[in-house]
Amino acid sequence: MSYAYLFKYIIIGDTGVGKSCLLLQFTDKRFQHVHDLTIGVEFGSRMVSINDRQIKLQIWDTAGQESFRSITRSYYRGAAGALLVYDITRRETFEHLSSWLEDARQHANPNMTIMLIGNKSDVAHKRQVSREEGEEFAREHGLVFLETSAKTSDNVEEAFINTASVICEKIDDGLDVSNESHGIKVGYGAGGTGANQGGFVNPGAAPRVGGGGGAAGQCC
Amino acid sequence: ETASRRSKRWQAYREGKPLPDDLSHEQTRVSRPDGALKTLMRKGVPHDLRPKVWIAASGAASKKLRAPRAYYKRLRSLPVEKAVRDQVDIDLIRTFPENSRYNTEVGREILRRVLLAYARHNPGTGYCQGMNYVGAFLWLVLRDEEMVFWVMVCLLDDICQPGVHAPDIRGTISEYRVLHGLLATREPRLQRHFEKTETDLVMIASKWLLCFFTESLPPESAARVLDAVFSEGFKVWFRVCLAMLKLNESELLKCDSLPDTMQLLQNSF
Repeated sequence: MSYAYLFKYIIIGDTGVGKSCLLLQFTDKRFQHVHDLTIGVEFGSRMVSINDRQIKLQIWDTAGQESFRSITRSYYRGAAGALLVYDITRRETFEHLSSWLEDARQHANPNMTIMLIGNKSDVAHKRQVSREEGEEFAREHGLVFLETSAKTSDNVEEAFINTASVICEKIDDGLDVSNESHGIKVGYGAGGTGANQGGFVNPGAAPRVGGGGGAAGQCC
Repeated sequence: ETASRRSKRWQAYREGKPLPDDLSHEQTRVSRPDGALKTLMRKGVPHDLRPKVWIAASGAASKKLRAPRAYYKRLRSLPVEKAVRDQVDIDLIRTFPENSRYNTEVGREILRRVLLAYARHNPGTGYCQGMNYVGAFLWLVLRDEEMVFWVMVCLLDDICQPGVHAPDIRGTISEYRVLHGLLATREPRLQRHFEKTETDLVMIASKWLLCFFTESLPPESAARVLDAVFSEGFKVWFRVCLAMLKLNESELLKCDSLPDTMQLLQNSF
């Protein structure tokens, strides 16, 4: 299937906050109550449509344990978006956000869009972090914020799609999509320069003759 | 049929010479079972003999003998960091979630005790994800809690290269560097392709080492790998990696991105 852009995402956050469950809910629309823990990294992808543009999301789901930080850091390179996840029922996962953010700022490109996610909103009776605290942290650090439930799927679509919308806005505002470190690849459908570079060409799709130029600049 | 031939071979061997409790030569840590026994172990240990052979060949039996009295039990009185305890607690249920032989209340409780005992025994390493799969797998084979601990100690402390499960997994990172170095001489085409596509195997397949294949291969294959590891040492791990990559060489050469390579390797086994 052809797409206008490919965005690389990374999901980060403490161990057991539900990173893999969010990904599974988003890519497969299902919830696994008991899920294998992630050793190293897992991967998923899905197409989304933003203002009639097909966008392919390539999502790296990383291990949360501290030991894996050095491996995780290499995934920041070339990521356009990050989902920084904490668990609203475990206060310490919220308190570790600063150290995750520091890692992200240090190893990612400065244009990376970061979405802060308070997961497990369905377990309200065990809540240890209020919504206001999440909002406050997001405001302070210039992040987009949502509370989600990977279990009920509440806000899961929004988390991934709103991040893509923000990235699209950045492209419209002139973010250089030909710079690989920005985590964006131009697909065939966009007809932009670089359309047949990077091995993402779909041989089945007809080439858009003369569709270059303006198309790539108007993502959304 | 293969299994029955295997059992017969082992029976013939044991009639000539009873299996000793200790097959390893701990003083040198280099020489391990050789000759007929090495060949037998390479071809696979029969199910019913596996616990005895693993305990003997890994060095667990003699390690236990040389340890202070009731070492495993007495470890319990030592403190363990809260962070380690919390991490272990989160991971118990997420280990082989579909395996009904391990994933019961009893199984999880045993794994908790073994992992915490290891963290107390080796506080510098503590607990690193991956050890949970190794521990659960050993328990499924050995069915003896204390021997799971001792075999794990031998595997992680003596047989494995140092630092594989260190708090920054530096041992794992360096072993994958060695693996890429081996690829350069053994499978240069593949290594050149990995370099061209910026594929670093530690980024996509660190679990091969952290879990010792117990999470990546079908159980009997993973057990066969450990049969050979206990008999011949850590080099077997490299051989298995090289074989897994070689088997997929033509497909791997077609993958030009990290996600493609990762999916291919995950779906092949």
